[in-house]
Amino acid sequence: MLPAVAVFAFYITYPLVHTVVLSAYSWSALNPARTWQGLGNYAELLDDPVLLTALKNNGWWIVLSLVIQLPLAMLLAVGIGSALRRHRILRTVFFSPLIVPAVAVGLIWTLFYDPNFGALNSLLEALGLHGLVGGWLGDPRWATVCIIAVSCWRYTGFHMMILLAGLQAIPDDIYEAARIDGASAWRTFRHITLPLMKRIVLVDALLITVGSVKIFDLIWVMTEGGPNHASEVLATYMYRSAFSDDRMGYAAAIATVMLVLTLIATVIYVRLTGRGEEEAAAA
Amino acid sequence: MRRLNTMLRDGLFALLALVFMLPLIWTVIGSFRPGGDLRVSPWAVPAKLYLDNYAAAWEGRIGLYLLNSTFVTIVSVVVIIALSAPAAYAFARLRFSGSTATLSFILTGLLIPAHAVLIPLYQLNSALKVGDYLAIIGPYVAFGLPLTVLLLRAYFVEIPGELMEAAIIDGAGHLRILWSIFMPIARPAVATVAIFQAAWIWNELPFALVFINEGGHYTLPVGLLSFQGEHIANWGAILAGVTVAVIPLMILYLAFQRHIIRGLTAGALK
Repeated sequence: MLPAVAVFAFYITYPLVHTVVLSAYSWSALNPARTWQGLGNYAELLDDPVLLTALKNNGWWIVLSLVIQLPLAMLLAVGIGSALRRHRILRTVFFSPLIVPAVAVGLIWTLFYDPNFGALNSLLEALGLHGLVGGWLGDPRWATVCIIAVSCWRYTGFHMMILLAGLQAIPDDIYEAARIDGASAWRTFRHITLPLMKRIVLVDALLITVGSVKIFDLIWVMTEGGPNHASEVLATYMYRSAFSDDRMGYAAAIATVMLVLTLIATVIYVRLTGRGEEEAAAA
Repeated sequence: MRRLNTMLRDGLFALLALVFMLPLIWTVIGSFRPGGDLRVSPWAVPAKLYLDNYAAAWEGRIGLYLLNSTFVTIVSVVVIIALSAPAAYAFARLRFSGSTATLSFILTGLLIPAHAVLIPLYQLNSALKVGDYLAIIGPYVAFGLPLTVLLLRAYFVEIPGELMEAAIIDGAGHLRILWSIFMPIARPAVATVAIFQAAWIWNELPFALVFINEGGHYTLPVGLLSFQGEHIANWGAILAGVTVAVIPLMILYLAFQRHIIRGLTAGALK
C-alpha cells in the first residue's frame, strides 16, 4: 500500500499544493527567476475579460451538459432496460463514441462542421434548410454550443451505462406490484424509478459537472479556444497562458481557480446526497 | 395499441442509433475517398476503394504513434495494477489506524483536474531531464490509482474471509495470499479496470501534449494532431489516420464488452 500512496502523493498531492504556491509568483520558462506577486495574479484575473469568458463558457458547459445528457441518458437507459432483446447491440452503439479518442472525435467533427465543405452544411442544403447553414465553429456565437453538442454525442452513452447499472439494481417485484396496481408507465417512472435512482443520478450529475469544469481536449482540438477566445474555457486558457504566453504564475492561478470550482461542486453534491464524502468520491 | 407502441419505440431507438453512428460511418467511408471528392460531395459513397489515404497515414508515422501508445499504455496499466492490488488488499483486509483516512486521501484523486498539476510536473520533468516516456507514465500511473484501488477493494471485500484464514494457518504471507488467492478470484475486476485505464491512457491529451518533447515519441492523440497539421487540406488522409487510431480500442472493447459493462455496474453502485 505504501508505494501506491507514495506515487500518488508525489505525482498528485505535492504538485497540487505546489500549484497553489506557485500562483503567488510570476515567472516564465525563458526567465525562471521567480518574482513574488502575493495575490497579484488573482487581482489581474478579476480584471481579465478572457477569464470572464472562460468562466461563462464553463458555466454553459455545466448547464447544457446536465440538461441534455442526463435526461437523454435516462431515456436511453429506461428504453434499453425494457427492450432486453436488442439490448446488447444498442448498448454497443451508444457507448461506441466513447471508445474513439477525443482528438479523433474532434478532428471528425471539425470536418463535419466545416463552413465551406462540411457535411453538416451540405446536409442542411440538401434538406432545403438554407437558413440554418452557418459558420459553426468559426462563428463566435455558436462555437461553444457546437463543441458541447459533440461532447453530448460522445458522453451520453457513458452516462446511460451508469444509469442502466442503477436501474438494474431495482428489484423486479417492485415493478410487478406497480403493474398489478395498474400504474401507468410514467407514474411508475416518476414514483418508483426516479426516487430509487436519486443517489446514482446525483453521482452522475457530479461526474458531468466536474467533467465540464475540466473540459479541454475537444475544445483544444476543434477551436483552440477561438475564434478570438469565444470558446475559451479555464483549461484551455490555463494551457495557453502557461505554454504559449509563457506566463507560468498566471496559469497556476487559473489552475487554482479550476481546483476550487471542482471542490465547490463536490461539496454541493455531497451535501445533496447527504452521504459521506468517500461515497460521493467513489463514483 | 401495445404493439404499435413497441414499434414506435423501436423505430425511435433505431433512428437515434443511426444518428449516433453516422459520424463514425462517415469517417470510415470518407477514409476511402480522395480528399478533394470529400469536399465536393461529403455524403457520396465511393465507387471504388481509394487507398492512398492509408499510404499517407502510414508515411505520416501513424504506425509509429500506434506503437508508442501501445507501449505507454501497457507499461502504465501493468504498473497501475501492480501498485493498486496490494493497496486494495490492505484497505479491504487489514485493520490499521488511519486506513479510512488514507483511502479517502487517495480517492480525492478521482476529482482532481490534470491541469491542476501540470505546471509543477512540467518543471519537475525538465529539472530532472526525465525521458519523454517516463514523464507521462508517472502521472498516468498516479491518476490511474484511485479508480483501480476503489474497484479492486470493492471486489476484495466480497471474498470470503475463511479463504484468507486458511491460507494464514498454512503459513502464507499477505503478498502470497494476494497473488495466489485474491488476484485469480478477482480476474473479472482486474480485466475491467485494466481496460478502463487503457482507454483513458490511450486517449489522454494534456500530459502528452506538454511532456513529450520529441516527435518520434508522440502518442496517438498528439501524433494525430500533428498529422492533421501537416495534412490540413487532405481530409481523406485525416480520416484514414483517425480510423487507424480507433481500430485497436474498438477491437478491445468489442472483445471485452461484457466485462466492461459488469465492471461499470459494480463500480457505479459501490
